[in-house]
Amino acid sequence: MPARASTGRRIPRGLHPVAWWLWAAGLAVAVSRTSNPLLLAMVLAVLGYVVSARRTDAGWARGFKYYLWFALIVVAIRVVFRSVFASPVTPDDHILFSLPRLPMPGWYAGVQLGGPVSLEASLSAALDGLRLACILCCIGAANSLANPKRALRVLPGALYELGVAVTVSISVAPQLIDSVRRVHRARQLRAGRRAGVRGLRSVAVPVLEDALARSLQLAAAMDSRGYGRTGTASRASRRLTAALLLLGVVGLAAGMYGLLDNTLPAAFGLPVLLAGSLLCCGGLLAGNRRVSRTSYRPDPWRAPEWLVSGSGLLCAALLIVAGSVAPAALNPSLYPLSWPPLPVLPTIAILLAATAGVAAPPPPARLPVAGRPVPARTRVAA
Amino acid sequence: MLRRLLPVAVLLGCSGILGTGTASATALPIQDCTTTSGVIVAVDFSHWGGPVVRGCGSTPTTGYQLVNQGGLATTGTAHDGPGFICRISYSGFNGGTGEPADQKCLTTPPASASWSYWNANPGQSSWTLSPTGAANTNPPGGAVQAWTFGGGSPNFSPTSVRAQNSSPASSARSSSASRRGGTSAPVSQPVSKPTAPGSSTKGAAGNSSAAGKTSQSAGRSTGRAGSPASTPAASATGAVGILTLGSAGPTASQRIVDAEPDPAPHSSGSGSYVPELAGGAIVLGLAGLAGFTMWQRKRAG
Repeated sequence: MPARASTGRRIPRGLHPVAWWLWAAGLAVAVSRTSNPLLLAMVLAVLGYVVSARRTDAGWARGFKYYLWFALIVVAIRVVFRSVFASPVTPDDHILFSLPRLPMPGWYAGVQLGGPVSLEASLSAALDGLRLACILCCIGAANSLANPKRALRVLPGALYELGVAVTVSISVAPQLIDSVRRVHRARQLRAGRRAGVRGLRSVAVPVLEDALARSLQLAAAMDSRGYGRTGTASRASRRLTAALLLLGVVGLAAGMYGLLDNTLPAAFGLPVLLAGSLLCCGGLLAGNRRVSRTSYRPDPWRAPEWLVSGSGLLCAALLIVAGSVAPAALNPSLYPLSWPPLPVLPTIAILLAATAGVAAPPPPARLPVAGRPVPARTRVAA
Repeated sequence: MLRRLLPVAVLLGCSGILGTGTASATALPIQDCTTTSGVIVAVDFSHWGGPVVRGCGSTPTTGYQLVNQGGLATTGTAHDGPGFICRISYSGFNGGTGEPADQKCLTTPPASASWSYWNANPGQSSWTLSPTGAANTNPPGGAVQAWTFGGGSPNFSPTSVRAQNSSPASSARSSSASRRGGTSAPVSQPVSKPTAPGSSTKGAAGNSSAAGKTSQSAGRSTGRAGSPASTPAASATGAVGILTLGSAGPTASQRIVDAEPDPAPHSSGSGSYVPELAGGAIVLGLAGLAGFTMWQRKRAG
């Protein structure tokens, strides 16, 4: 049951970061199953709604629009590449325009540059790009909704050894967005703004510098709080952990490859994958055992966490089921061109994921007073 | 390695058949293909116990055009379009459903379940794997093309399917006019088995439909007994249309069926606007909700 204050309003608090990541991962898996533009647009709308409803006011939480821009760039690149590297054209295709054909030598005849660009090929490229863009936006939504610094705390203890690397890799995207916003604001306050390439340079350099500096600063702060400490571990147990993890990761990669490549024997796929994950689990367990850590203000896992992560995972499961029952509706054909259908089950699944915007508690105000909900009107602008 | 790269080659090469003048390419009766004009395409269905289907097309043409005429048709993948050939069907084999029937053809099929595309230019007696995709290959007159399943090179030689006559037989041409009216049937040529095709040992196990079709066609083609052609390889000489190839014939018990020049029906796109309206309404509703929430938050804070 959602916690409520005496006034009937739900108490604002940050949702457990893992719940948001599970929700976003579920949506990303769901997206990867379909190329139906209606469903993809619906996923984007769901992401937009949940982010706008449940993000906090912190700097890293305001980055969703940058992910949207990034998504647009992904789609554009995809379409441009498909046009330049000419794709199959049959007499039934609708030709949009023709690019000049670059002649290729005989040994390179398999790749054609230029040629007629059909509407079907461009749409296919755009939909492919849109699917990738949706997955990017899922990650973006998780980055905007889940506090990256609190997400670091739920990492398994074995990864603490990698302290700085893990901190930088997890927090660099949110930090980058935070830096972009700060540099942009500073430029707006200054006179004599430059446009074009020079303007870009005056943004890019300070942003990269700032983001990296702040990530390192965070890593140093984490280090001072016990990250990267090996504790009481002996050299032998450290080596055992490292070996188990390394073998496990190699097994995971090889098993994945075996699963995806049909020419390899079946024994190479799932068994190796399972062995790899077992080794990884063993390594993490061995690493966890020797790192003792206490946490101040642990993130609770209550009903809203179950609802949010459950809605995302259920969405993924329903789309996988729908994909095996009626794959044609999830991947509508562009040859011949036709309006995509709107399958009922995936629509319900995606709308189910939108309930996270209601199930999650409202986000805390920027300067929360401990134990008491802050009325929205009295928030202090920092 | 080559096999794995092949679908990519088919995709990347299948570009830009416009401007190559393919509009005039049509399917011809097999007798119209000679050593110098027309292109013969052979599709090997023996993986499913079927025959090698042989068709003839006029030049200029493309490999894609050739394998999409005369009862032959291809299916691309839903993801990459018709140029990425996933399935090949022949109207006289397995009801024209196309093989491999067990592939969904939504995305790239595995390398073990893909068609490979082979060329032999006039005078060549061995196959070369095509460096370009079917839609991007413009074979010269007298060339032979082969499609085999599973990636291996064809188990029949270019000579065994190539036209041997130097000029189209006039009688064959007149018969082709009557066959365009739809009264005709494929000619079957069970190689090195001069008996009735239905008694083929290969056909006994799993390909009853193919064998049935062959025997039926053999029976029906008796009506064409009055159209003998001048050369042995490319025509039906016997009263039942059965021909035994000589030394040029393939070593295996390969049946070669000649495809008929009938136009393949084109499917046209359709769909209703209703899903678009419903989907658009849901997306707009969610976007409106997001906008309202943002506005509310902005007002509050």
